[in-house]
Amino acid sequence: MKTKRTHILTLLAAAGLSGMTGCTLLVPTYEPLPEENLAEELPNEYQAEFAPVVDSLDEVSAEQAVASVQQAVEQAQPADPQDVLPSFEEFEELPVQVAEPLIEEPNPFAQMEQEAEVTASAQMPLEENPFATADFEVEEGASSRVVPASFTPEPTVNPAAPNGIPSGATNFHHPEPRLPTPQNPASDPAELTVALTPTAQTHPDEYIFDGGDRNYPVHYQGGEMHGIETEDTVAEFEDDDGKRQVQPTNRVAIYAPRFGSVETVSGIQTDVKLDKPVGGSNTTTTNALAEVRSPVTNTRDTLAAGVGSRSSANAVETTLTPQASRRTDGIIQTQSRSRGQEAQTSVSPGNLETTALQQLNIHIREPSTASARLAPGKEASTSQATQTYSTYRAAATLGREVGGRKGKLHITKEASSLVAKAGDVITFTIRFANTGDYNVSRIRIVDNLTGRLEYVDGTADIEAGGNLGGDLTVEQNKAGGEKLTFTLNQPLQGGQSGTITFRAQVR
Amino acid sequence: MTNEHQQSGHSWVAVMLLAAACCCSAQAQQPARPPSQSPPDRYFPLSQHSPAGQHAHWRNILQGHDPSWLQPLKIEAPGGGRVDIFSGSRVAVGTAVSPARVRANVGHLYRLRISDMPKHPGVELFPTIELIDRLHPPEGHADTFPIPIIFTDADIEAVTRGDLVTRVVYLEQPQLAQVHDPLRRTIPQRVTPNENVLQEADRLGRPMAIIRIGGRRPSTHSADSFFGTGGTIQVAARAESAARPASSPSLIRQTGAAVVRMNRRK
Repeated sequence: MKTKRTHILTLLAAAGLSGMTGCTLLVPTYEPLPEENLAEELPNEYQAEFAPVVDSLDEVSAEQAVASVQQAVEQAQPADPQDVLPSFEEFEELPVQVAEPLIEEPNPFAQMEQEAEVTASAQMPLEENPFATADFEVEEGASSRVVPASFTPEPTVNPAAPNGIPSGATNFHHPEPRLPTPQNPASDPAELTVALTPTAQTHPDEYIFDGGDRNYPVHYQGGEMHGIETEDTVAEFEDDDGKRQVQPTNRVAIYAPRFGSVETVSGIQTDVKLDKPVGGSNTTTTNALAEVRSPVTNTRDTLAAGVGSRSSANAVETTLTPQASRRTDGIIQTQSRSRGQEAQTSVSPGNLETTALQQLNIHIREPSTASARLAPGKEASTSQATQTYSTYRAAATLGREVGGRKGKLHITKEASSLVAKAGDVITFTIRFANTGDYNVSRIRIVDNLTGRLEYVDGTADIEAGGNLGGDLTVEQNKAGGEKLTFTLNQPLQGGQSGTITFRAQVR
Repeated sequence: MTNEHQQSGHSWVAVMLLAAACCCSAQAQQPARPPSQSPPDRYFPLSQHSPAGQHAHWRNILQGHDPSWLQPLKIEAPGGGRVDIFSGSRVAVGTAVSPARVRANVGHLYRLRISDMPKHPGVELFPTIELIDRLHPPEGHADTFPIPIIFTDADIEAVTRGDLVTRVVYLEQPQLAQVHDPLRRTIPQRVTPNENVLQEADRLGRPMAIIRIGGRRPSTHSADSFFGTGGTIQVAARAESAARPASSPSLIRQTGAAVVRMNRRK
């Protein structure tokens, strides 16, 4: 008992000291506790509060307070031993533990989802940016797929990925801008111009150009090819994706200036245009052109009385009698009583005094008419869950395995002579090759000759992939020349090439 | 008021009146075209009515004169004939038989004399050629593409009637090229005298030379300027030298500023 009293006194003394010194010891005030295990007996909600913040203590009370706090901490619920961090020395001595690789159940949809994601990210810019079509390359590997050139695959740590997903398939760096970086224009075959001298650029009117794609680029509108001007030579084909592409050739500059003349003949006897006879010539003397406008003649008598209007209050005042403008819209006359679905309109005999218009208004307010608009079938709408599900599966099926480069046609044009006079015959050679690994099909090469070149009939030869095959269609273009369309009969396999030759006479 | 004050007052009034008159005249000289009106087509200060040689002179001022380049020309008279070439002197610097191959300096006016035409006996023409532009052929192909200077029977008939034919030879714009040769059309391209033939030629291509065929003849009092501006010209005679022996050396003659080289065609 004495011990309890001493302990209580000690606590009270400590509390008093803390009150004087500002200490914030928290002391529960309930029944006396056993002195040997004070903290153990405290409820859990107080244990967290038993770590006080000591602002200042005097020497005597600090020792007691620290001792009590240490005791409380030691007797508190011990922490999880795994949460206790080792010291640096202990940390260095700890054995390195390598986690075993997790073996998950193969997800049959994981590959399709990843492929769908990659395919969507790779093909979406194609629809938005037509210039990005050439920026895609095919990564060669065990099972490569179409990736943008701006992506660089990261090596995969675990080569034995589940479900046979190849390494480096979906791990990419941050994407770079979609548009291809400007390259050397000279590397583009469409920008090349084969000429004897550089004057083809400075004085192009002295040359005949054939090939390339000048002015409006070739494009499709309504499924038809547009932008084929004279001199243009382009190849149209479909790649393995079924997408139509157009590839222009280089330009060939043939020095062949041609002259014309325009003349005028001035004289008396011939070709004199008589605008008017001699008798009708204007006499442009001062007197003839003088126009007498005396002030008297041009004076307008705009007296105020003649054009003035009196707008006195009496003149503009209109007298509206109260009977003429009065509307007698009494409450009873416009009131209608709708009682549920019966749609009965209660019109009292006294309402017959209303005008016909008011009666019409009453009939419009038929409740049956308004109720017919509330058709429940129109309000109902089906959910879009089915549509969302189909979209997900469609994206998943977009994934494809591409084992090589996409089929692409490279086409060039040559001329047998770069200097020609009128009457000379030039042999043109169009060489094309599939630089990809996949077939390109529906190849059509269009050469819209300028009016200075005349196709020599029967001189066209088409050779593709070692076989002679193709059709030639000759049409007349707007310039009076010919538009040659070479159509290959068979697809061109990857790596194969072909040649088209024809002759044209310089006009 | 003293006389001094009266003089100062009069001068002040005179200055005010002069300033007002200047303001009125300035307002009157302002263009009447509203600002919203679109500008007219390209202005062509030169036309067929400009004096002969003015276009070439302006060309030398604006683009510079290149005395080193001699532009090949091919002069054709209807049915053949003799072509004498003058360049700033009443003495012909060269004589050739149609079609004559000539090299002339750009930016000058030359006078020709066409005679001995089999289809027009006794007819002499003194047309002028004003060379205003040149070609830029590949090396070794300059003589392959001469500027054609063609005289036709219609020109002879027009001159006989007393008309003046002004013809502009232009380099055809290839992208506006016609299927048929525009230089040898059956119906020539012609504009009315009220229209600018230089503007029309510029629309069709690049004007190269202006040919004027009229009835003017030199007289004993004609100045040297009547025969051209003295540009360098070379004449390569062909038909006349054909009868000469093959070992005949080339005849080089210099007249004034022009150098005439009469080569025998091998």
